[in-house]
Amino acid sequence: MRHRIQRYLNKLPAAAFCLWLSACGDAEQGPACKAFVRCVSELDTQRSTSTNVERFQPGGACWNGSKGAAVCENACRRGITLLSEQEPALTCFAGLTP
Amino acid sequence: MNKPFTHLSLGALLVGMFLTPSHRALAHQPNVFEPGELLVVEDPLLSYALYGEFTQPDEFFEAQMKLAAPLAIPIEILVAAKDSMRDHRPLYAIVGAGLPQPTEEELAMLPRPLPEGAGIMIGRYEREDREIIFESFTRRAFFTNGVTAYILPSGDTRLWVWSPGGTTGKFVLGFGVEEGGQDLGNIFSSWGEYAY
Repeated sequence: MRHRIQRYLNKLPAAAFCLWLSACGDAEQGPACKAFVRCVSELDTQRSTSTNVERFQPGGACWNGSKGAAVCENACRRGITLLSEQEPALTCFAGLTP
Repeated sequence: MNKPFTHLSLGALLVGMFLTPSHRALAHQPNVFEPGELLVVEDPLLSYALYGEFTQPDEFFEAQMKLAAPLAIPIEILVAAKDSMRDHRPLYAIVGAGLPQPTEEELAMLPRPLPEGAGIMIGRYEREDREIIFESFTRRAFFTNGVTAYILPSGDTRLWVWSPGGTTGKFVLGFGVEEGGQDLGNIFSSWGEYAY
């Protein structure tokens, strides 16, 4: 009995590590957010600002799981529409479909 | 290897995993929004869910962020997906320096005069029938106005929430990304504020 418990205990760190890794997720940056980041970068160049877009960049919080990734892609899609209304002179919208 | 030392190391590893900063950054921190009180968002780089309730039609909610640099962030407003809430469509606005000046129509919608030098971006309802999403903290379905990525300006930026139609009821202003199921806030101790 004691050996069996010991065997489970030995496996526990590996199981916890796998769980931890799966919680981190591995979604990739989506096309809408790639375009959004590009537009923000162009706007930054025009305005001499440095916007924090960390969430939307590869490896950012948006891509920690499929649910967050879907939320961010929707957010970026609408964000691009909003930016195109506010800053129609940006060139980053070329080739994008609304 | 020395067994007590091994167990101690493994224990430390496990504790470390749950205290690691990446988990803190993943949380969608819940907070209770009170009408008439300024809610200061201490760390705008985290994700937040601000829970509030209109008990009077003319109530006004305000949050403040002080940003060192412009910040791109997803924002949405949620209402419980129930028949009784179908007409409850609270609205949010981002108020700060450098934002677009409002049109006459937008000015007429605002619950407060715009501060001197400030511009505004007002949230929109993308669909008349509103999309329904599942929110994992409260484990409830919500109507959403449609999550949108905004660029918040640096400096003193405010988020306003009001009920243009004068309807009452609960709402959640979500900003950031609800990436994980962690409950690192005070949601269980104030469950009545969140669940419906």
